[in-house]
Amino acid sequence: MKDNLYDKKEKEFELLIKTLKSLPKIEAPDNFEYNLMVKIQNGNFKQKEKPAFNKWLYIFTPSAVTVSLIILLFVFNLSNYEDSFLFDSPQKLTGTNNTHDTLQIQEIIVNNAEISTERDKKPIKVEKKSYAVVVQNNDVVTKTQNKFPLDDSKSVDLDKVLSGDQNVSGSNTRVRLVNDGDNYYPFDEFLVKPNKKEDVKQLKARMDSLKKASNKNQTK
Amino acid sequence: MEKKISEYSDEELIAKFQETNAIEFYEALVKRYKDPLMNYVFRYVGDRNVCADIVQETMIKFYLNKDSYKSFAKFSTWIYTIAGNLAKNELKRRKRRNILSLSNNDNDEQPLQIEDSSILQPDAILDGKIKNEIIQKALLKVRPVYRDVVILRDIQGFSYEEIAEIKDLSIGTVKSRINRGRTKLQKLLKNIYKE
Repeated sequence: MKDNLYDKKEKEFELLIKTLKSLPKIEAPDNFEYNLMVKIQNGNFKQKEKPAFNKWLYIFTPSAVTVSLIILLFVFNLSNYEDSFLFDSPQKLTGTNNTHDTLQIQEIIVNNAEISTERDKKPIKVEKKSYAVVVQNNDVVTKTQNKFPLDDSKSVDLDKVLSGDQNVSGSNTRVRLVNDGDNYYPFDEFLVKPNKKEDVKQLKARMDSLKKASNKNQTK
Repeated sequence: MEKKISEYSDEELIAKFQETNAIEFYEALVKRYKDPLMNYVFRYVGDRNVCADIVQETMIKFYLNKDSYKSFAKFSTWIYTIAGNLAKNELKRRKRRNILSLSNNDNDEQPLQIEDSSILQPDAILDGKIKNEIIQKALLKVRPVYRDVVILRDIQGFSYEEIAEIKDLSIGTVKSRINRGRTKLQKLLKNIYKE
């Protein structure tokens, strides 16, 4: 079928084919063979030159791949990188205490959420850490971790209140005792402060001396 | 009685040349093929000086790589393949050069203009030289893939099978390319056929 189609087409182009066939034949120049034989006898052949383009291609392709891989790694690493606390804006600055050597800014609670990856399939861990940002006189900023997650602006040290060292009468802050007055203030939790061994010993000594004194009074 | 060199077939000559390395067999083949190859390359590239160089390079390649010819193939298809590849490379080189040139504003679809027939007599229009130049220009306007096979078929007189072997294509592809090339050429030469 196809052959017949092309045979039919050949008839369509009959005139064109005739014209093309009637074109004069181009002949080689007279000295063609002589020149050829001279070239062959002298070994004067054009050596095939590899284009310089290929050399550059061989150099650039691996280097381009390497550079792009490095860029990709850098970009993905950046997205997973935890920003330094220095780049974070502090939550709240409530006051400053000037000391002799350092200028201490209020403690800032920084929540560091360590979220485990999905691969681990473990429950999400949220860890609270308390840091104090200290700006020294020479403008060097340092970060120190606190023992307890306490924020002075939000918590009350009962020992200090009972001894009268801390004032809790301020109404604009959350620093208030539970059930202090009629107003409701948000209450998070009690944090029990573990006593030092020295303090316990002192208290025991006090208790013992008080007991001895009371015993003496009773015997008298 | 031994045959004269001119009586040998192409395949016999190349076989003798491969065996003996005698230059007279090579020379005989060069004599036979220099003109047909010149004609083929000229129609394909369109530059007489360049085509002489291409044919010389073809003959040198043939001389250097004579052992790569295998006897099951026709010598003519083998040498035409070499010449065709070299001509194609030359066209690519030119194309690269032309990319930088802004002067090439030829419109491919426009039929080629012939001088006004009122000035030139029809006989003069159809005069060999002018007509041949127009046909050659039209050939060069056809895409190289189509031009190549049209030249091999309609000018060099190869069969479809031989063209398929030279170009390493299927016969169907060869036929369709020839058909496309002819259609394009006829469109470009429609002014000639009006006369």
